[in-house]
Amino acid sequence: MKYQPIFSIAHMTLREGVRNKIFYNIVLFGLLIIASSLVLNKMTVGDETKVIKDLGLTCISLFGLLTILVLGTNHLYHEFEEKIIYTVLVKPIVRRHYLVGKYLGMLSIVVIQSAAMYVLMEILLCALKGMVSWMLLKAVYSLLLELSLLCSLAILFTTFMRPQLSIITILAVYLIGHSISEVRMLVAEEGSRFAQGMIEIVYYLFPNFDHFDISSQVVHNLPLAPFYLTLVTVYGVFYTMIVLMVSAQIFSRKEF
Amino acid sequence: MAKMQTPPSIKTYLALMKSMALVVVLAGGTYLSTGKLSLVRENSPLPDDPLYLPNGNYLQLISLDFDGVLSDLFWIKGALYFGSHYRKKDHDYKWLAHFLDLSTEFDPYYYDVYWYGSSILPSVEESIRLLEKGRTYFSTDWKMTEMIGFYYHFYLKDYLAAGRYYEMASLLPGHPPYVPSLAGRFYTEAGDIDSGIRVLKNFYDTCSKKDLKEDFAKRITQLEDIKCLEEKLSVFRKKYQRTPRDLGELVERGLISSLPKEPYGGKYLWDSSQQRVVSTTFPRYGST
Amino acid sequence: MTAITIEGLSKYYHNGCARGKKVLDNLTLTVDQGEVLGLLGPNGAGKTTTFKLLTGLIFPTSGNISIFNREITDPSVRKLIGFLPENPQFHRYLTADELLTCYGELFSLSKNEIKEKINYVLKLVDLDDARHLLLNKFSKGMIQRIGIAQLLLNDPELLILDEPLSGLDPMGRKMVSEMLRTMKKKGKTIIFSSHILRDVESICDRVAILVRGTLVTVNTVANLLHAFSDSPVSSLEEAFMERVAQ
Repeated sequence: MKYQPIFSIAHMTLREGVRNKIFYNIVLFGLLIIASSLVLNKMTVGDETKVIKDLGLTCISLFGLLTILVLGTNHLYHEFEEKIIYTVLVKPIVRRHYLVGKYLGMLSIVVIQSAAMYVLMEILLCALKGMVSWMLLKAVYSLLLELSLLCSLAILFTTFMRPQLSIITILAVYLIGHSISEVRMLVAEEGSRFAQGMIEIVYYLFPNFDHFDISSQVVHNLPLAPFYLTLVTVYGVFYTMIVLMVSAQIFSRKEF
Repeated sequence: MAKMQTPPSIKTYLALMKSMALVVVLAGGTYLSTGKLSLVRENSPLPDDPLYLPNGNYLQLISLDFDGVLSDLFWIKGALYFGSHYRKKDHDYKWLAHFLDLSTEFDPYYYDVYWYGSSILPSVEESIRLLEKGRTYFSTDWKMTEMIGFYYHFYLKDYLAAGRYYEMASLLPGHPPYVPSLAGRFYTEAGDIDSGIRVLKNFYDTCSKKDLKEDFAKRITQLEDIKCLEEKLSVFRKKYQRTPRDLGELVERGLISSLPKEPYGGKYLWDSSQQRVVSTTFPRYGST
Repeated sequence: MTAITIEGLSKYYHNGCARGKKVLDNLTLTVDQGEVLGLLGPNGAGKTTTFKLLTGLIFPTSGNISIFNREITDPSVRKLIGFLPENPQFHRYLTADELLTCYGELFSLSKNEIKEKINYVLKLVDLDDARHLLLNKFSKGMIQRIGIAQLLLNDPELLILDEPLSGLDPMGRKMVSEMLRTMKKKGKTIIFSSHILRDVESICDRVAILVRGTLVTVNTVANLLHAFSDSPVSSLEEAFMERVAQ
């Protein structure tokens, strides 16, 4: 099969990732925090399940980001620096297929981690309310789109930066991506035309992570706008593909 | 690459065109979906309580070293929350007090949150509560105390409480002269002339500026005159079972030898509608 | 057929706008099919650079390379190559079996073919018992052997080895030397570098000597030994020292 190398690399990356002790620690810590929501929700008045849902979704998002930062950037960089990649690239594999395989492998790690946390959330919700919340799955799906985009960014930056700089850059993009909507709103009211123009460019250029955040609707059982998930899927997938294409271009010219 | 000199073949150009077309499609799709998603989010009735936010004390447990940043974040969030609802003109600011509360939980010495935050809160009671919280940390700041007094006077028309807060502000360093002056006025508005005189006398005793002392002396004289006249009025009422037709009757009846000279050049009058002695200079007690 | 054709190959590493450091200068070399060529030179001569250029890990500043008369970027060429870098490193959290399975999949081999080949190469390098051990538990010698295993997995026509004998104990060196001789007998083309000149002398058909990025000589071992009629040398080591000194 033409794309078999991609899946081989992805499988190899996934295997390596889930055997890494750091991965276990991250997942365990995340699960512990979600489990602690059983205690935290006692501090609330009203809907007991809200804390579990909010904390669970936050953990999926934050720990997903942590895995990408710690495992993702270091893993790829380690392969470059330790020359592990030498014996791989010499094999009949196109460079961009290697990169896509690495991306899919990393994404699989994040998906497994998120799935574990999601399952725990549903178990806790079932124990409290005796029912499964399918709306939660939509929020998790949306978060996974966000994490897949972050994964691709980790790949992009690692192709030409050291892990420390990659991590800082990803965090900066993450923060900008989460606040750009509000800044745009502010500037639209108060800013000069030049500032508004600049912000518009940044708004469309930078990934807007707020689009993936539907926790509020999900937690309060509010309806989503029609085709919202479709739109957000298009946005997430297309943007990710652009990032991977740029990464592939850089990687194809990289010397080892 | 390996062969540097060979010109690109048609196949290479086609591959390049395919890649560029793909990039255009992807970029276009991303741009269009961003625009559409922004519109959808702006028009969606999203609830405002972003994340579950319990009492700040519990959040403090997990704030680690980032108290300052968290305080800033909640202040910014609160300001943006206010702005977005102000823009929508829906007057729905139910979470604003919570944001300001959280911000000051993480950084109790964040002055601006108390000062500006209190001015944008929807209810006076919430504003006073926030400023009271601030007073515990800025105990020597006369402005915060005075502002509480202002809220009591201007919005709640509680002149006794206003007087108390203005008096407290007058005991703090750096206050301007109008603070004790207003304290005296509000006490008198509330019917507590003795407290009014006390506040003014306190300032008079500690003041070193001659012109201010002169001014306050006049205020004190005025209030003491009014207090004396009202005492004489009580005696008259007790004796004659009625209120006098005017203050001149007190002189006629021998309760006082003569009407005191109003220090600002006006006259003292009996205002039957308010059932009080007033000065023509200040129609209500101490009011300008 | 010529296995390797190198024409006017140069490699410069650029520092900003400056021309930069010359690592390889106008190298021209051919290796015939079935030939064993030893690439010698002092440290920093450009041997590893040559191997990296051959395997497409880096790109030439100028010049041409072809392998079996095909571009090195041609995926079909990659199926014919086996490469063992100096001090190879592999994925720590995979077992030997998993690593070789993945590499086998990259060659688009069928599952059965992969299994067969893995069994064969692991037996060859005497790592059959350790096939399910994680690679982070392997010793240096075992890592080198797994390197040989992945080198031979696709039964390549061209073997490229960078310092295959370095860091090995005498047993390890013997194994590698014997493997090279076996491959030679099978008619494989081999190009390798080594500082153990005694082994080079006994295995290689020809020797190319690089000094500071420039090819100073390429000749048979016998001719090299007799090149110095004024002061005949009895070993390749002496010939090498003389040549480099010149």
